[in-house]
Amino acid sequence: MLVDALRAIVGEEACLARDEELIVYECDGLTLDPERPGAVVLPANRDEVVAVVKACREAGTAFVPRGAGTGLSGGATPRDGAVVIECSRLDRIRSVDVENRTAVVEPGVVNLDLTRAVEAFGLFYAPDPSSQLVCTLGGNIAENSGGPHTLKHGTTTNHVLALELVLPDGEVVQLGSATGVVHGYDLVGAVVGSEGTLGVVTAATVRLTPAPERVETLLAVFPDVVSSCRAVGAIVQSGLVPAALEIVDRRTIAAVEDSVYAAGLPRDAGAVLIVELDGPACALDPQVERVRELAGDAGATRVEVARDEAERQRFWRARKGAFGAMGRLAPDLYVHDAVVPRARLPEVLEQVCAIGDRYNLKLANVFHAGDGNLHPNICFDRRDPDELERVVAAGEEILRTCVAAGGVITGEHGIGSEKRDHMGLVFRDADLESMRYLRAAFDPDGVCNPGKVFPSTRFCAEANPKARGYERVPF
Amino acid sequence: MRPSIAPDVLRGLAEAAGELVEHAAIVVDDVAFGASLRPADGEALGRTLEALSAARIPVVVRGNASRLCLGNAPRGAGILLDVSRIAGVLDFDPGEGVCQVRAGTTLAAVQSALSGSAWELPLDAPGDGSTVGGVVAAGAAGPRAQGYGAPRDVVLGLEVVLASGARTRCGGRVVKNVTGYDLCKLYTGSLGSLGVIEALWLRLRPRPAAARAVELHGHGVPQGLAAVREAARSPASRAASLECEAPASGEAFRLVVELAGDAPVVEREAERMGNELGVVETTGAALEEVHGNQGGRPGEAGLRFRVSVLPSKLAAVVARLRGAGAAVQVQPGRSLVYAFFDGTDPAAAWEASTVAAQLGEGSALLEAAPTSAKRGRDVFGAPGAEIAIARSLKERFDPHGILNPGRFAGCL
Repeated sequence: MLVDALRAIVGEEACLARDEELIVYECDGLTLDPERPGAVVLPANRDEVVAVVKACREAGTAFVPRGAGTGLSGGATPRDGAVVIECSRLDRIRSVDVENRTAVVEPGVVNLDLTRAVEAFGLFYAPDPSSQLVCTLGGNIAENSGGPHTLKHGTTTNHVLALELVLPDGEVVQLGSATGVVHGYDLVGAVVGSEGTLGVVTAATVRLTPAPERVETLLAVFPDVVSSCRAVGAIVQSGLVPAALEIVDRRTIAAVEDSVYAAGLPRDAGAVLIVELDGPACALDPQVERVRELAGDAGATRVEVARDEAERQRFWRARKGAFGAMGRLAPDLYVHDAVVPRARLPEVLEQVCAIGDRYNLKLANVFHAGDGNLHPNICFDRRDPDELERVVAAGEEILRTCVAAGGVITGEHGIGSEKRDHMGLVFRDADLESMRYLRAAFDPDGVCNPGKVFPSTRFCAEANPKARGYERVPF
Repeated sequence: MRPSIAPDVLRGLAEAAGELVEHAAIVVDDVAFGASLRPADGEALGRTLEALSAARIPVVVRGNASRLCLGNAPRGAGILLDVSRIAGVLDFDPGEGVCQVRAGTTLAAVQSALSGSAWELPLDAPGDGSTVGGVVAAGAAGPRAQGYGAPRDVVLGLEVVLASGARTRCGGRVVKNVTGYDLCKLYTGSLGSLGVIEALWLRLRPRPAAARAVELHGHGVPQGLAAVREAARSPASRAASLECEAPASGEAFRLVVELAGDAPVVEREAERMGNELGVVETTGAALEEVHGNQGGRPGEAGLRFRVSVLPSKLAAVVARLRGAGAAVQVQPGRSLVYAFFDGTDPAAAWEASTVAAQLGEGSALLEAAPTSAKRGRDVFGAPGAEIAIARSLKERFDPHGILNPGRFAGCL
């Protein structure tokens, strides 16, 4: 039996198969579409990962790599009774190379722990998803995670140089180079963001970034969210490249101010814009003035510059505590993710708010405005079937609105199982077919994280004859 | 010279492409091409590839033929597929800082379309008349890639015509996107072996408020190397190059740095480098000359290797390459060493570059050389275990092997 084989590989304690143990692994941060895994293993090293993959292959069972389970698109949700390969015990920072500004890490290393381990050398790991306190680098690699500071510093794909990957047939392959230059196909670039469908990453060489000379953080208060979006457009067009440009809207401000994250934001504001500038000290004073001016022109009623680190943290608390604070508004939270051209933000935001109103939903916006990455959040109660239906319908309408504005349906959360059936909004059959070529080159039998990325019926049937189609709407 | 393709097949191809021109031979690694198919748009390109696939006729894909020297010798190709007519800037969105161009548009044409705007095209691979499609397909970058990022960081979306003739898209026009697999990464630098780029969405960079060039002439290669590494670390440095002649000509070096960004930073850094390194102001022309040299080679028989190394190994790598008689250009910001050999002993040049790459924990690519120096070798270096995946990709994207057969890494 597969479970016995898995126990023999990872040990009794690192193999979970009882119902009450498995329930925890039924879903990731997308809780609407859970499914029970066949088993969960927590391998302690690469060789155990290899053995687990081979045992799954022998048993004809699919498998899915999982990090901390903070993903928001169902990327780590097991399908077809897949075995979950939980990477939290692969948590060593294998080495830090200060001179070459790289580190070799295992997938279970927590994002923020890497920065903590290297900040004494004046370095940091740039991609900073909101969940960076708990999310792991393996999951970040799978999803090509972004974060507030990816506006200037780039997303995960810009910071991964090399990978050690266990292929779906159990072979181990080294991809990329610590120099960042490869001769041949950019397979590292193809694997980053492939949502755990091309193999299991067991180590990564990542780039470390020198800490900036100075950081300035501004908080601009606007009468409404549309004028804050206009300010973002003006800043982008001015040639400034802030480290972060984040918008928090009125409803989110209220939720934050009612919560333990209260940051002293004005409750009568329509939106606040957080602008972070970093770089050489002598450049920042003029940049701060320029942002102040542009924000004022766009209608800001007040612009504050953080006087010290405590104040800077206070500004960021409003942004980073937003998701937690929304827990106060309703039992369930649906965090949407889509991208539009930055210049289209004002009109798209208006449309998104109108959609929320039309469906009578509590919709709040807190998002990476600088790269046009919207996060409309809908607070709801899943026990109310009518409300759930409206959440689903509004979500789809929001995606269509963003695509119509020249945007895409996910900027950093991934397609996962959540949006697989919306891929057709962006891509045609021929486009998806070319993506299947990539999938098939790594995983011809479709056993590695099945039921993700590609639209349901056809791919499942094609790639895994044993898989059943998922008719359920993924929202 | 007529290609050795049956006349009726050739007629069919000409019809599909809309234009077939015969021309003086264009020689790619001793293979002479006397004719080019020249589709005018994506639709014609799709028809052409479909017809080529059906007739199993391999092609070498070209833009303006400015870097046909890159790659292994073509296998069995009878005709060129020239995409330079598929040109033009389709869209430029100054509010967003992105543009969409057809693959055959030259870098110069894009820069000129952007002139007067607040944005610039962050691609600076040297080469007269280089096209955007060619530069991205080759993954080619110039010295400013230190500040700009590599082509993989510039490409937001691609329209690619596959060998089957299917016109496909990946990525998009927005600056952040994880919708579907990132095939843009796979196509960028794949030398047209998986598909032919038809159009591209590119991320532009804000034009810097100030830019200055500084240089330093000196003696002693290790000193020059230390200075250029220091210069490349400056927050204002967007390109830093060190040139050293072959050892036979002495130990002189020339260091050129381009500083760009906000005016106060550029001024501060120029002054600091003047005080600490002794650099002096120079002209844009000097800068362009050194940047152009990256793509140069010493005469027709010469070999040019690009060796990528860990920054900590630069000195050892430079010493090894110069020890074998090479002139070098070092770009520490990209951790690259360009090695120029005069071609009198290609085997020794290969040996030195391979050893240097191992020493630097990186890799060596033979960018330009006479065909005789390429024979029996893979110019991209010996492939590793990942070649099985590469082969599998090639078989799926190009099942009949019609796209640049033999030319890419692993002679795919």
